[in-house]
Amino acid sequence: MVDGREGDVAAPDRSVRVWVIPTNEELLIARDTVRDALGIEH
Amino acid sequence: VLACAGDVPTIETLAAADLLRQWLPELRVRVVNVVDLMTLQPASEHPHGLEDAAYDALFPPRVPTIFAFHGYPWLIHRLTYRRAHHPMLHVRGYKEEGTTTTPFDMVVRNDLDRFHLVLDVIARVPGLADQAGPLAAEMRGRRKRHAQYIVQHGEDMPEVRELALGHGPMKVLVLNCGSSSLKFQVIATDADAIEQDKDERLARGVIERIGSEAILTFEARAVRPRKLAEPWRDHRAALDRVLRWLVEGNATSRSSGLSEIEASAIASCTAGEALKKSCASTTRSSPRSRRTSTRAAPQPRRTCAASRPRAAAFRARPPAGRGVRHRVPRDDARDRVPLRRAVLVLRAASRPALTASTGPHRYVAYRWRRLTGRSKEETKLITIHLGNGCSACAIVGGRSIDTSMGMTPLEGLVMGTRAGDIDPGLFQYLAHKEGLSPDEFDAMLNKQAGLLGVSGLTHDMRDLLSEAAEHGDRRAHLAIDLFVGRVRKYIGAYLAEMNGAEGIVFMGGIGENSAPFARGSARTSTRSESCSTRAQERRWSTAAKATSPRRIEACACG
Repeated sequence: MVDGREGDVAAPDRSVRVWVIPTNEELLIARDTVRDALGIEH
Repeated sequence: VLACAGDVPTIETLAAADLLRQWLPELRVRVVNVVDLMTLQPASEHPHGLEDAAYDALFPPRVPTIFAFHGYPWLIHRLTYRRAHHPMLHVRGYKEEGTTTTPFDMVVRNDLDRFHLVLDVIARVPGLADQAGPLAAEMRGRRKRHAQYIVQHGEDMPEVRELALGHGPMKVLVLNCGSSSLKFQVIATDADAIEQDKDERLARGVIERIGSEAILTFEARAVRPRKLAEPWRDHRAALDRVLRWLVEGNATSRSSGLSEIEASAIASCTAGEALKKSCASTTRSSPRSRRTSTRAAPQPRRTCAASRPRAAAFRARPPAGRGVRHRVPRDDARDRVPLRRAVLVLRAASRPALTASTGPHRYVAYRWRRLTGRSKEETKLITIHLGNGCSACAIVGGRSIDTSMGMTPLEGLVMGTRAGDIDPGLFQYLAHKEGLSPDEFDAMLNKQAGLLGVSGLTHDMRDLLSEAAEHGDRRAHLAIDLFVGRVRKYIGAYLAEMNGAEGIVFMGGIGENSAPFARGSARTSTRSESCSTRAQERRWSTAAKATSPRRIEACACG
């Protein structure tokens, strides 16, 4: 667990890892907006 | 009022306005860029001349105006001598000064530079000279520094050559609209913060159940979280409420600068995250600033119609907000495509073309990369969003190669009130047998199906789980099993399609909670031994507990 709120929850012996990650798409939208406004390539 | 005409004076004026805002935040400054000088003349003298009322609205008679002009100042005086504000007008322009020198020095020699414009403002706004002493000294100092710098270096100072307006991280208001909810965050970020993953969340909140007695939750730094119940009719009214809270309702909004939002963006999705489109607008000016692009998925008519009230909402102005502007770009091209063809095109071409930019999926893919230290190219991920709406996405090399999201929010996984994938022949069958109209069929699949339809009880997974656990309700079991089974089926399909995955990411209210999958495993077994996947329920539950909505997170985002 990272910060106790997101992380790998799969059993240790498994090859495909299962993760729980709370979403926060607003962050990426804010970043897109700032990048576009300031003319930063992304 | 700072007026300007011509490219060089306009840049100097913007720079002067920026200095004033930085040093004297209480001073109200208006910048008027004059692109047609003839508008300055009385309407009786020239067809372009502004009527007095319109002119006086721009240049109030008793307000000092500093006009930066790229020609001789007397021309502006001649054009405006009959205007009411003329006694308050001061024009800076070319006064025959200059020689072979740097571009900015030409401006300085004619007292048209930003520093001198600021000095002019200090000299002419009544009462300002007393309090703006330090700024005046700074401006005179910078003019001196400029003179020394160009002698030493033979070119203009870097701060002059590379004009950057605005200060510190940009404050962005992000709105995320659901069918009956409006979520928002105010995030302060800039290039460095993005690079270091140090964006700051200043405030966030949500208005739920818009259309009836809405529930409002607002949180900001150093302010006690507020939870209110207020009736809000539609998204427009809800947005007004949010802006009011941001601008004035929140005690610390002024001191924290929360009211100084410089850009805004909407993510409008129809009652889920099936189709998402974000567009943005900004007030911060930059020579390099360009129109923000419209990104992500094409929207079909259904979604357009559904998002119309939100577009209307977004034109609403904050009551006392300054610096907030909204623009909703129209996508005309989309409207011109005949619907039937659009459907075919969407189905055939656009789904794999969706990059992983669809909201939550894009975020968790990004977050997973950060947590695991993988690059975009190494990404091989299945992302599953289980909230009010549900969707799955297969991401390979940073691109979505497949998704459960169709043209409307209906396709794919079983959701709270949506059926997800169904037999297309069902419509014809029900139309004949039950006399169902297209609208009724649509309402049935979108509003009465899914967990609600199967269980006959509720669309809420938490209630279903307790119903199944406490009373062993057969239909509650069935709904949960169906829900979990569909998720498994998609995971299996994607694993085959992607030839295995590095990871599977769960998110959303249901996705962050292991309970349905633990329950499901008892009856239908969520273990897919073939792909060697098994989650540890205990660890998952820990995650779920820690992400309980009651927990107020620290302000740092991400």
